[in-house]
Amino acid sequence: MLRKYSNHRTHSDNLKLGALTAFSAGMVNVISLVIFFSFTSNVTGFFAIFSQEMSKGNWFQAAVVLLWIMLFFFGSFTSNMLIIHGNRYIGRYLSHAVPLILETLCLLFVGIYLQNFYGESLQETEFLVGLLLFAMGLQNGLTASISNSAIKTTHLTGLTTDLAILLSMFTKKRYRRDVTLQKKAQLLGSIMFFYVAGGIITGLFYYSIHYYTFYVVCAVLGVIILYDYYKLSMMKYVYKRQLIVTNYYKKNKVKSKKEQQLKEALCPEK
Amino acid sequence: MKLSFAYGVIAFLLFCSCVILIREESPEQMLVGKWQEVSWELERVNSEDVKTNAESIGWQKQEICGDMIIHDAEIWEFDAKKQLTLIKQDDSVEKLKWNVKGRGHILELKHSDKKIEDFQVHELTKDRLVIYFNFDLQIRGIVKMTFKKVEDNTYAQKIQ
Repeated sequence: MLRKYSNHRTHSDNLKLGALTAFSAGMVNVISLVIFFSFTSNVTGFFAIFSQEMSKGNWFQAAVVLLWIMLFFFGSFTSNMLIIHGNRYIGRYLSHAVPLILETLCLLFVGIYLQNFYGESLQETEFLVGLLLFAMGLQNGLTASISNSAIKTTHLTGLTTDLAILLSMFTKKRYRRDVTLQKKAQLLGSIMFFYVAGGIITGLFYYSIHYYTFYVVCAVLGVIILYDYYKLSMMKYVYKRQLIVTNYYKKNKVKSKKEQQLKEALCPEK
Repeated sequence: MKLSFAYGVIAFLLFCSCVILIREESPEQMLVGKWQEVSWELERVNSEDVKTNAESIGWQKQEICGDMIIHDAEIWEFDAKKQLTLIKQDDSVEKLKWNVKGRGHILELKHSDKKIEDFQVHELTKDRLVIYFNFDLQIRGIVKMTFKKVEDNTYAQKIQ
């Protein structure tokens, strides 16, 4: 689900990646809201808040919000940079996995910091929210970039619009029969479902597992990274085995051909 | 040319934000000091012909005011070590912990019995503070508290 790019991706790849990343984004968004009183998986609202703070003359708050928006921006920027430039040097899988690895590291840092060092100061809060926004930018940049913008999992504004358009299209019979549209609806529906599910689960379990929620999100991201690693390792293994077997048969074939030629040379048939 | 302009704008915005963050006082720093409560208002219901029944009012009241503590005309003294001293009219004192969350728009008060109150900071200037009790994510208002900054000397004079 991670290593394939653009049009080479199957519907199943998109479904798996969309569901898992939406689940993690939903979790992060709710936990940040509970701890920091701030959303971290979408920036639409921040643009409105930025304008509001500017008009009120609250320069400090406006600057904070602007920095948060920029961190989300830099997350997506970094993600795509790694994908388009890293492909040549570290291979497709790794260049797609590195943004997720960075995101996991950010979330791990936030979890560990909250558990051990958090003094609830405003500076810490602003920094940690910024880090989460950067992580979400990384994730959104990755999913959008490798899926040709088919998957965006950190916010649901565009997705809700697309789903509404699709459902209205389904009022016509010929669109209902269109397999591509059916698959698109499936994908959007599953992203929405898993985003909400992530949020609900975090809301339910946060008060019992507290900051460990971040480790759960890391585990979900770990599944995405390792799933493809496992698949690639298996493919490599199977390919190597096939290569050995083919070589063996090739060698034997050559051997038997040579033997036959030798036989023919030694005892030519009359 | 256009690309370098775009990168330039981003760098400029980044630079401006950093300068503002360094130079401006944060809400946390602005809060430190003594604040006198000047008003405690319940916001009005906009529509007058709203039909309500006693049962729904009771349920809503419970839902809304479950964690609310009525603060009556007090001096709120925020110190830099995150301790808030509430000085009531009868001179009784309550000490709690305070934190500012979000982008500086949430004031969180932690009582010694672990009860937590959240307020949305609506306005914070050098001499005026307006906060709303934070009932829910989407609701602001109903209870509005306004404070004015009290200089140490004037407060001492008042007590005398």
